[in-house]
Amino acid sequence: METARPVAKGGLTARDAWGAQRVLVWAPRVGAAAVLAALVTLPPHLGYFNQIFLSEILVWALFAMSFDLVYGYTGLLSFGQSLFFGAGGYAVAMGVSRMDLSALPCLGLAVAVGAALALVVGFVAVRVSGIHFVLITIIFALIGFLVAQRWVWLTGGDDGMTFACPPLVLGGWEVSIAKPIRGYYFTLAVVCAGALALARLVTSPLGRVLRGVRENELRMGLLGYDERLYKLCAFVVAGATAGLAGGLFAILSRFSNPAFLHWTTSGKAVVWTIVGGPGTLAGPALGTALLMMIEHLARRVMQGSELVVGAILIVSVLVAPQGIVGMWRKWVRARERK
Amino acid sequence: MRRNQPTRPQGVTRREFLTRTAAGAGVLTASSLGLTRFAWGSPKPIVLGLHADITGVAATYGYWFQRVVKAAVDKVNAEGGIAGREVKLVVADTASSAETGPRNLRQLIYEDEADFVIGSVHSGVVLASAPVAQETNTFYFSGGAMSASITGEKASPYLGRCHTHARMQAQVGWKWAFDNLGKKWTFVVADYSWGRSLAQEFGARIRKAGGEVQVIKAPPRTSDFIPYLQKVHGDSEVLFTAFLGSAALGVMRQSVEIGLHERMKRFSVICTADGIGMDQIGKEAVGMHFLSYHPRYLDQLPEAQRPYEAAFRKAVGVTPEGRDVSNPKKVIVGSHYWSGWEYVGLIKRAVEASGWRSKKDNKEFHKAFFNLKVQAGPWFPQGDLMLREEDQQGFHNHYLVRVEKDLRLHRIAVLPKEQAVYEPPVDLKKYWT
Repeated sequence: METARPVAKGGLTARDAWGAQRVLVWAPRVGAAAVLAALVTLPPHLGYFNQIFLSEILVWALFAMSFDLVYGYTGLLSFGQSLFFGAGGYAVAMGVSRMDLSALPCLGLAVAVGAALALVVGFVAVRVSGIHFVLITIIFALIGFLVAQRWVWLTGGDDGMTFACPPLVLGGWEVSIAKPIRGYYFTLAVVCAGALALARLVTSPLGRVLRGVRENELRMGLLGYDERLYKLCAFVVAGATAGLAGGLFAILSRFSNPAFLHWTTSGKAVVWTIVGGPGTLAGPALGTALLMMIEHLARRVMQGSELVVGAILIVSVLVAPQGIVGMWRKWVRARERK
Repeated sequence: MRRNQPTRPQGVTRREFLTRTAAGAGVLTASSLGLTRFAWGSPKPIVLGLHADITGVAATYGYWFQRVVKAAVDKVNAEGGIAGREVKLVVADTASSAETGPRNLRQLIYEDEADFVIGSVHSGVVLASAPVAQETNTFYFSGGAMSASITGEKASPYLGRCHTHARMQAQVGWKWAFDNLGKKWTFVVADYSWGRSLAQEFGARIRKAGGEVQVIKAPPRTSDFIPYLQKVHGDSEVLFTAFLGSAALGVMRQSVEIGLHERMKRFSVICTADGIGMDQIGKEAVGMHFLSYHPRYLDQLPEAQRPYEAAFRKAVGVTPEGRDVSNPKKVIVGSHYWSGWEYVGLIKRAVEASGWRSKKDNKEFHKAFFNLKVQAGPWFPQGDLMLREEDQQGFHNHYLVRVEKDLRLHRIAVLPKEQAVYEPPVDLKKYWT
């Protein structure tokens, strides 16, 4: 004999609601695992160009995540990320061409340079907020750009620096990462490590404090948190991550150039993050992948592909102001409330 | 009876339609096999990539390079291709960006399988593309980029250039200007590598000859030049300016506004005014001297070259006055775009001389290409050209032109290519042996 099933609000049974919630909670994890599995298994079957293009998307996704840490989690709109990205690129270029370092020490140098510069910029910038913070980060990025342009003896000026691909040395084992597929797996490993570190940070107590600063800085201060110190902390970690992304990009392209230090490079991270969903880490990665692919395809068939990106940004802001991932989360919460 | 007879359709019957269509298709196919030079079963085409600045700051150049290279590929195919192989043109946009440029170059080489690439006018893009060219063993030819380092300190085995650059311009142009314009020079230049290197290269030669040099640097997008021009020494004899776009027009106009044109000769390289009509600048341009790399007007070329230049212009769609046939408002970037045409001619000669069949034969191609010495002809309307193997650089004639009251650029001297030669700063022969 069939027993009557308890009916929850909205016409769903309790089991249905629990099942839906379970699916919605697990869906992102399953999705992330599927994406990672695809990123690991598919590239050998793709052409060289797609392997390199995927590597680039991963690097820029890490860059966008670094921006998200200061913007999405801490509430600071920074246009200074390009400074740390570009400096990371130069750190690798100098590490290879002047110090003969292998890939990992070069990346270590890029992280250190990114963090050190972020400490200097952040020390000044976190003392102000709002538009003044934005302006200060733009000014620092411009200073970095001009220095890279003018200190020709150090940076090669407008011509930038070109160098050979450094090898990967682990213990006594040395391998070339110049081939696209090897470069891809190296990039994937480093980006995954960087993304996991950021994910660990935003789910830690420190991450919760950062969100508290974003939501109500005054209240956090009254609760005894030194909000400036926490903002500086987020800024330095984001700077180090941007430096890492810049270093990786330089290894992939064997090239560094002052253009990467210009604040407009940060503008790309802003767009990718807003479209993907700020304050989510997955959002900036998704936004980067989507927009880079769309822009690349658009450039193949039309002139002015930037217009396509602009149109997507406008639609995104109007339809999904929280970004794609933010909209998805909103939908999940609405289902949970039901 | 008429009514019982099978009715004749107004047009054609289905059978007639099918028969005629099949016959027509057969005739067309047969005739096309006879008319086209590259029939089914021909050897694999040679893929020529054009890495053009279609969008971004150098888009004017990208527009003209597309026109020129497409016309050159049409010509080479009409004449039987290269070594009997059809040339297929594939185009990618650099977006005038050192980030996007290399990515799209990879697509051009990996996906579209470009065998050779005619590249960007943007030095940053060219240098960023060098590692891609080397990783893919694909020759990349600079399409008008002016940084001396491309074939100098930052030379790369797969980078080549047949046209002028900042160091060559100083080498070929300084003496004439020093002798004819004056010994005391003031440089007002854009504060980035192109402007600085022009001041440095010209300045070093002028100082060495006993002249005096003053250098004033201004941001590349300066709109108000008065504070900079007021610093110009009163006894200067030559005012050398180097800016691009609206800043180039600004510095020319404002130098007249404060009367410098009456006290000193004004001199620049044609890069500052290429693609800009002198009528757009106005009377402030009168008296300007430019070092040109290829005259804008057909009648300013040496007489022997004019038939080749006329044919080149006809193929591209350019008037004798240097304007777009379909849109006379558009002025050619005449000192830059000719290299796109000549690269096709040079590649044809080098492939046919070396027996190049694929990238496996790059060494032989390199030897043939960078030892070419060609004379003015249908493929070389700019004039005689010689390439040097050490730094993979070409040398050609330059011209001195002056803007007269009719707002036209008048040729006042031809500077021979031998005068443009300088010591090779690198030796890439070692890489290829």
